[in-house]
Amino acid sequence: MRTRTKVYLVDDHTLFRAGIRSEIADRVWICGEAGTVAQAIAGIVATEPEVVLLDVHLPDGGGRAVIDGVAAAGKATQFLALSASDSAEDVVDIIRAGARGYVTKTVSADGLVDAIRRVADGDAVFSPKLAGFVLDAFSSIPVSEVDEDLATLTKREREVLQHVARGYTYKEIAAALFISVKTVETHVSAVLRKLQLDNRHQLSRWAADRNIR
Amino acid sequence: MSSVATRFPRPPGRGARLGVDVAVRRVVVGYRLVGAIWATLLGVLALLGQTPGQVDRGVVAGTLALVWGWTLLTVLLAERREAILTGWPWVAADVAVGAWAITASAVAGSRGISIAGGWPFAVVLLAVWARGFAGGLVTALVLSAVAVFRLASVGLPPATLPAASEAVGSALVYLAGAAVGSWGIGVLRRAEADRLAVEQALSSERAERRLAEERAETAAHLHDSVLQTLALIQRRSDDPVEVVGLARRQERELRGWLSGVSPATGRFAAALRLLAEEVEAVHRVAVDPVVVGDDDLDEGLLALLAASREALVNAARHAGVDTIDVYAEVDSISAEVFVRDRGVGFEPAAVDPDRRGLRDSVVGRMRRHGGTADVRSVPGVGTEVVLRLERGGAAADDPGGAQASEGPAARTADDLRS
Repeated sequence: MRTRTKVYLVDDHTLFRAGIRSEIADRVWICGEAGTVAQAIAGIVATEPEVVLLDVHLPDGGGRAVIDGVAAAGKATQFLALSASDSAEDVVDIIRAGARGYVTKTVSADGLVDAIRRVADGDAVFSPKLAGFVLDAFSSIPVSEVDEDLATLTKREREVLQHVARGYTYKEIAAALFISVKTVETHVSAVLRKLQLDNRHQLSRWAADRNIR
Repeated sequence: MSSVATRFPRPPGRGARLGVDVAVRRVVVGYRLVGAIWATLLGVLALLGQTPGQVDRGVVAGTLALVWGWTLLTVLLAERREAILTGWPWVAADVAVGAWAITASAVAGSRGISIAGGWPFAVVLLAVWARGFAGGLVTALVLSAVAVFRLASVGLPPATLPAASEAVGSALVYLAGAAVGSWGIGVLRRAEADRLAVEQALSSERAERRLAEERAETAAHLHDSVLQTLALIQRRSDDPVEVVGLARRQERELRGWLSGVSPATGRFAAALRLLAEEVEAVHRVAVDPVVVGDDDLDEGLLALLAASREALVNAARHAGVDTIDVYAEVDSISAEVFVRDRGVGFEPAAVDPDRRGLRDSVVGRMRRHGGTADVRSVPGVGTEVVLRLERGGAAADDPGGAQASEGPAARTADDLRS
């Protein structure tokens, strides 16, 4: 049996933290929790968790400030964004800041534990919702035939994301597309990297359009 | 009006921000031009009225040039760099130029009146405007002293009489200018500040009223929505499925309200979400559609929605699951909807002929609109209905084509609701 993943919890709602704790504390090791950006950065740097469960909306700067603060302190840890927010801009923003995945707060306990473990293993965790947001973000940009092009999704990456958005698990996607689960993970990670690395004007413009609307 | 707070009274004479200050600046600069013209006339008269050799024409001409140059520089700075004009170095330099203008004719050898005319008064005005009463007073005193001192160069009585009266008159005018000028500017500034204070009070009162209205509106909305739902939840606390359904519906409603975006009527994404909500409410399943892209509803999209609804209802009724995944992608070329459950599944070939929902409403409807419906089901694994519709050029350019036989859009919309 694998060792329990070391998790740090950041959410400004005490009740919600307590709820998460009671749901998953028997399957992961919750090494600490915080309700503010400053507390969170100090706590994460001190306890060095494998995964930080991070609320997108925090009063003083949001989840992005935590990711930036921990990165500035030189600590390597994975972030899994957790939010009640349905706003595409917020979610894509936190992913671009460096989170490895996004789940909504209505996720089941099993789903959350699974997502935590996958993020701890270095995988990207795309919920159907996030896949939809990402597809939407890239939708104005033509599909590329070239893998190396950071500006666009490849045809395969698009297919994988579409299946995620349709509610397929990675295993089901692998079966449907006749590829290995590892390859599915590679595609999803590649999409994540494109989101995070690129500063393409199309994606920025997409974000700007959404904010105006 | 948000800038009002920064426009409030500050020590007079420190940079002009009030409307009054701009007006006073114009007066100061305008009067300076008048003073320069006045000095020029006096200078010309001084030159004409004296026999050559008695007056150093160079000094008079140079003084007039200095007065004009300095005046034009002031005009320029008033438009471009007002802060320089209001600083004390400029005021001091201005006083020096004024003093020179007063004494210039004496230096040139004239025994008549000063050629400065009204120009030194312009210096007093500028000092009052730039540095307040204290600055104006000091300037007036300095210039008065210079005017009186100039008498010494004129000579003995009786020749000194006109010059003496001129000097005393000038001194009185300078001092009065400083006093009246600073008092007048002060009155105007206070009046404007009062007016702005009243305006601000009015606008903050308006803002408060608006806030109160918004609060009342928010309270009303929360009462109609959240409180009602909470009451329902308390009454149905014995039915967890119903409670979850109520919570989800309320969450969605509240989210929509908070985002401030009213669902776009006549758009595909909003219509699909509405449809999902209806199915959720009726069949007690969770349906959270993921939609990429959007477009205005047309006949084809309405048919696609109707087919999606049928597929959803089918899944909700027969699959035995509590969540259904819906994914839709719409652009101008095609539209796709995927309805997927992880339920009991079935053998598509072995469907009871009585249960024609899938075949007629989904497959048939899609085919009639030039689309396709693909039902993939594996017993024990689940079912996925894939609906595809070709859109774009052909359909839009040819409204009287194959689609016309389906009747007007209104009827299709009725289908959707039934």
